[in-house]
Amino acid sequence: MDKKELQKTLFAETIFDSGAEPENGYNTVCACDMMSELLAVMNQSSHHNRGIILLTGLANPQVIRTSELVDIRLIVFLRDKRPAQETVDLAKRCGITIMSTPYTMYKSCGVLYERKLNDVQLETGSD
Amino acid sequence: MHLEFPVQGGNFSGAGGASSSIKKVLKQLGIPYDTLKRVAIASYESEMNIVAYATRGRLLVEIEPGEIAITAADVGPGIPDIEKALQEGYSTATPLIREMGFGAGLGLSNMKKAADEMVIESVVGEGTTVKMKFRLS
Repeated sequence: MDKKELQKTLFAETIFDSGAEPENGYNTVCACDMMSELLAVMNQSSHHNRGIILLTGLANPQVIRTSELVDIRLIVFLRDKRPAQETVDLAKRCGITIMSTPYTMYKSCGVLYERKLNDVQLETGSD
Repeated sequence: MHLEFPVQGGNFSGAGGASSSIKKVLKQLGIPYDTLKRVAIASYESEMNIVAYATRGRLLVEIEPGEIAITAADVGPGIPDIEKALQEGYSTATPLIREMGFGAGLGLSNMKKAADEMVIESVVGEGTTVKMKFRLS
């Protein structure tokens, strides 16, 4: 899935577009509000993270910083959340695309699951 | 190669900046992706711990052939019960830390899982030093 398709699927608005697309598009979704949980999942992730979409209800600078450190390049803020300028500026500096969707976490996950996007594959063999 | 980054306690808006710089240096040195990811996660969690709990601290990085060592040393309240602090879910985080998406009681456990070796030394009322080693994959 490319950014345009994602935007259409989630009725999302792009707040900042880095201009970059991963080679094979976005094929994986990680839905998470706790950044330590996101780091725990990414530590177990068995693939490169550039094709991951992060869905989150948090809209502070730490979401951007955490994503940068684990190579996530696209974040969708849920329930029409708008990050403060400080967060948008950090996303620009880190080259991370950010969007905002009116959908809840559950609905966003549901529609992306329907579109055959994958869960993060963990090295422990969880599916 | 030796790198050192100061970390200021309570500076949430700058938190993660040191780990971001460490990751960039390691990437430029051509460190393999798996090791780079593990170092970035552990470094970031330790940086967040200093920001969240300590007065001030430092991240020290030693890059040697075959191994990377990260030391997070702080001046702060220390950890009274290290074994308890390592339990997943145990946290003394304030509401502010939780608002940032941390304080789930996963930080030290994430660091331990990401590193090949981890040693914690702490003196209550003085501070904490966490030493981590990462073998190059």
